Amino acid sequence: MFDRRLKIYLKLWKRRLRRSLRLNAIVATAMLFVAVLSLSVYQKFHDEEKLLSTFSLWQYTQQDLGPNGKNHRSIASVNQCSFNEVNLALLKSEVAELERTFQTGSNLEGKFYGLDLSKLPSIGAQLLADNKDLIGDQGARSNYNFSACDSVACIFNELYGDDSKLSGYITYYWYLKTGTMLSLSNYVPEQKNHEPGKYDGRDFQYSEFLFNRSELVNFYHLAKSLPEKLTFVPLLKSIHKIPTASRIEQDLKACSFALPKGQILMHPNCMNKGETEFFINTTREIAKYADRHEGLKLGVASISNSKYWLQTSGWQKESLFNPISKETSSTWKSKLSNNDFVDVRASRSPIEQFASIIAYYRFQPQRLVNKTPAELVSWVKKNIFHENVFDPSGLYKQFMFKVSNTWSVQEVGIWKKCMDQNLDPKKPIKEVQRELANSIDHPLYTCVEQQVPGFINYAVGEIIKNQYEGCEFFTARNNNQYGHQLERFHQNIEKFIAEKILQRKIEFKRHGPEVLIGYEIKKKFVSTIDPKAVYIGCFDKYSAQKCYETTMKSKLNQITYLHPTISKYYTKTLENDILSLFPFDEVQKDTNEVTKKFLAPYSARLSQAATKIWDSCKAKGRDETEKLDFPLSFSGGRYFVNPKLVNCINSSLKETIYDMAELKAFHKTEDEVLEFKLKPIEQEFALSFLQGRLLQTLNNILEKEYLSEEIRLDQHFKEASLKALSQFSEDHDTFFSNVFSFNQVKQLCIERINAFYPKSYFYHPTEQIDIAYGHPLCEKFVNMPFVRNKLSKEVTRQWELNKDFAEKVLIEKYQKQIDLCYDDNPILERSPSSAQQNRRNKYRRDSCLEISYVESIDRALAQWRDHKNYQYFANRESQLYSHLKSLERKFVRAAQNNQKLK
Amino acid sequence: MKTSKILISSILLMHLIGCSKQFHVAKLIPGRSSIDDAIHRLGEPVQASIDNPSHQKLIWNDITVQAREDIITVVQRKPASYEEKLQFWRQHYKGSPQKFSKVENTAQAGEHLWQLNLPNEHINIIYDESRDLVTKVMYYDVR
Repeated sequence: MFDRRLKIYLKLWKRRLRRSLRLNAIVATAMLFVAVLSLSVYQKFHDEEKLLSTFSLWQYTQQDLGPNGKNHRSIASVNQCSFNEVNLALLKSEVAELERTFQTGSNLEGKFYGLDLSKLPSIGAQLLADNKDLIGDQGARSNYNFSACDSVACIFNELYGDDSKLSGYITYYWYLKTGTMLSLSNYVPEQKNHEPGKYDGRDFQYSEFLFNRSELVNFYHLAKSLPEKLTFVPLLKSIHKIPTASRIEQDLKACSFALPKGQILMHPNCMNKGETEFFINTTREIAKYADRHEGLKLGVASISNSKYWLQTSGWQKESLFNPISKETSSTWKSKLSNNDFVDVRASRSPIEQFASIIAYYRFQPQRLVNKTPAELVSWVKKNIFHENVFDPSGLYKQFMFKVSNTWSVQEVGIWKKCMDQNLDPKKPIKEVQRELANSIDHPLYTCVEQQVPGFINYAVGEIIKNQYEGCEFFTARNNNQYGHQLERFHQNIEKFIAEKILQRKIEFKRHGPEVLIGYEIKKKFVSTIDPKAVYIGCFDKYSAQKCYETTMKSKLNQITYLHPTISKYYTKTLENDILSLFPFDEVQKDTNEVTKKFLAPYSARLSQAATKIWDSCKAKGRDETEKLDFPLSFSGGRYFVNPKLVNCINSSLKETIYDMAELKAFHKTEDEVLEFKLKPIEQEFALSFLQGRLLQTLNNILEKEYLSEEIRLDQHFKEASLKALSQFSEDHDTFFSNVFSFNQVKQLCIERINAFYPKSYFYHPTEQIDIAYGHPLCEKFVNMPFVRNKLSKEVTRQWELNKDFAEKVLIEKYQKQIDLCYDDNPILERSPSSAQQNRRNKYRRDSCLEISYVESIDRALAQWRDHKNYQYFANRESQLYSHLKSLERKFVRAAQNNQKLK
Repeated sequence: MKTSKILISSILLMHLIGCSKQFHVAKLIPGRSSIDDAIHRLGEPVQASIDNPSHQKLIWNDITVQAREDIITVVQRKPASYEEKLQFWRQHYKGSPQKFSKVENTAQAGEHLWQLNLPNEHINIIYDESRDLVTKVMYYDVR
């Protein structure tokens, strides 16, 4: 019955298919879709390489440590401790290892004072190429020849004059660990006198600007102590030493100072009061750049100025302006008591407070906890230190975690290796389970247990090598500070591993094959899923940690789906295992570290690209009428920049710069070149580190350009002013004939002076050049004795002419009035009857003539105001009036005597 | 739908309130307006010290008014978004004399504050170089 029905349905379908084209198309599309979907699912589960992030792939290749490979590094450093003295051999090996982690596969062409850069490891070559201004006596650079050197450290040692070679290696080590330069230059950024070696009004030897050996040793230890967030801070470029006999120009009372464009100035007073003081003072300044960088990542200008920080510390700023003196006073006030600040500097402002908390958290945690609100400490703990604590018990926890976590990572490999050695693959799995269940000292267990001492030795060696306190912690059992914690560590780590092994034994007994499958799953997870890639996929999400953990679980589930026999309980166990194996904070820290290393050589390329953009935008010329396109990523900081240049740079930033610098690295092997190009999400992640760096690079370019333009303008106007003055002095037609006032001549000068301006200037508007150079020059011109003399003659002449004109008009007008007065009151012919009439007429005529004169002055002045030169003499109207009035008696008398006016 | 309507209208309302505050600040003219005008336009201040007649100060959120004998001498406000870069002020007043100098004693607080004084316009701009932000716009009267 059912068969018949099915056959009928099929027949009907076939018929419909034959008749309907549309249905055909739908079915074909559906089949294609299913095929593609199946393929992509297969690809997702089986394509192992694609699940790794580019950063991890690059890192594995650099270290020759694949996800499936073994760490080949020796454990020779276990017994070497650099706590009290720095060992050159160890330092050299550390430098070599770090150099390898930066290898980009491309060599830099060019020479550095005779040294062929292509012979250096890429990171070293880029250091030299990128920091030329920070290396050597800037006043005598042309004398250098480093052709005999074969490394960066060698160049540095030549400059230090250090026979022990430690100084050069430490400086290079610091760069490799932190991404910043310890300056070897005698030019201090933003120094008042632009001449190298001149600081705070005095001349200093080159060597006085170099860090001495003990300071460098402190830097070496600091490099091992800084948290990830304080290394490779993109906004920090270099650290400079200020000579002992000088003071920091920007703040005479300070012994350390962070400049806004990425340079730290350190005075020996901040460095010679013991190691801890050194660490705190230096870290505090570094933390100020982390404050801004971490703030940018959160979308605020800095953490310390964020609403959260200001509110938690009750900070309020008071700015008052004095309109008379034009001075502003600005002070920070906090609602916290003095006991809530770890030191005096911390109480000065939120910036200092933030930086101090970070410094003390790392180097004097106990003092910090007692003198800072707990909320701020816990914020710093979570967001800067990845939940790590640095008091003895905190260090114990850190080291316990590191070793236990390393065990969890390597455990799978250890068990697998021992299983391969001790279990017969031909035996059925049930039988193997039975064997394991019946025996406590099965060779498999013995094999694993034998691996434990070697493993602990290796893991401790890694800590000693990479963490400053690690050395003291593990080398001195009777040490008061750490002795107790060290004993605790050894007891507990051995216990932890023994428990882990026991747990696995029990699991073997209870779950048998499930455990083996579980190992397979874990192994597959470790080798195919890259937690860094998962973190990168979540870094910009609101709750990155939640996203990370959910994604990790779902990735694990994708693998467990391929093993349907595994129970729900064991799946849950595996999930917990994986999350404790790759905890969020650790993965975040590791990802940031490897990304920063990946980007370290890139930032050098970035600065080249930024320079190219700058130059090409400048080549387009300037246009002062252009309007700024808001919003501005690059703003020009405190300087005026031609709007066309600002707009051009901003429009080029997003599109061009990343294409030019290309976010990719290479690795050369014998027969092939591996390329590591970032995927879009990875680029986005990488750019979060580079955003600030790029703007900082552009600001540094601007700073240099502005200074050089300012010097150029000064020099230009020194020569141009002489030229202009001599040319103007000889230009009789323009400046000395037909001129009516000093102001008019000054105006003529201003109109013509721009012919003497330089052809191109980008960082000063023409109006400001007028104010700064043009107007003072013209003022000087009109006040030159020779010019002044000549001008006053001409101005007087013109005034006389103008006065004559007014007088002439007055005579004309008055003459008419005189005629009228005479017409109205004529002189009659002599007769006996006319005498009295004539007397009366004379009296009236005289009055008429007197009154008419005043009226004539008004009329003459009215006509004078219409004269083409009136504008130049308008201010002398009252003087003219007085002059005309002074002629009254003469003219009126002449008129009364019926004389012709002259 | 209803939620989005409420959201849009509340955004508009907040925008209007914000605009009106800017409008009221613009109506306070140093040298002419009095403390009473300021209170009338901006409401009761959050903080006030007016006992010393030659140094009176009233503070609202984002706005500070300095006064002398009840007549406003300085009005300080936060910059609008397009005013936050110093370049805006540099360009806008490029024809006027500009005096650019450090704000004294801020280095000790780890700050790099500068002021751009425009004497002809009676405007003083406070600029934080580290953060590349204009933090205050001040209008003043010199009498």
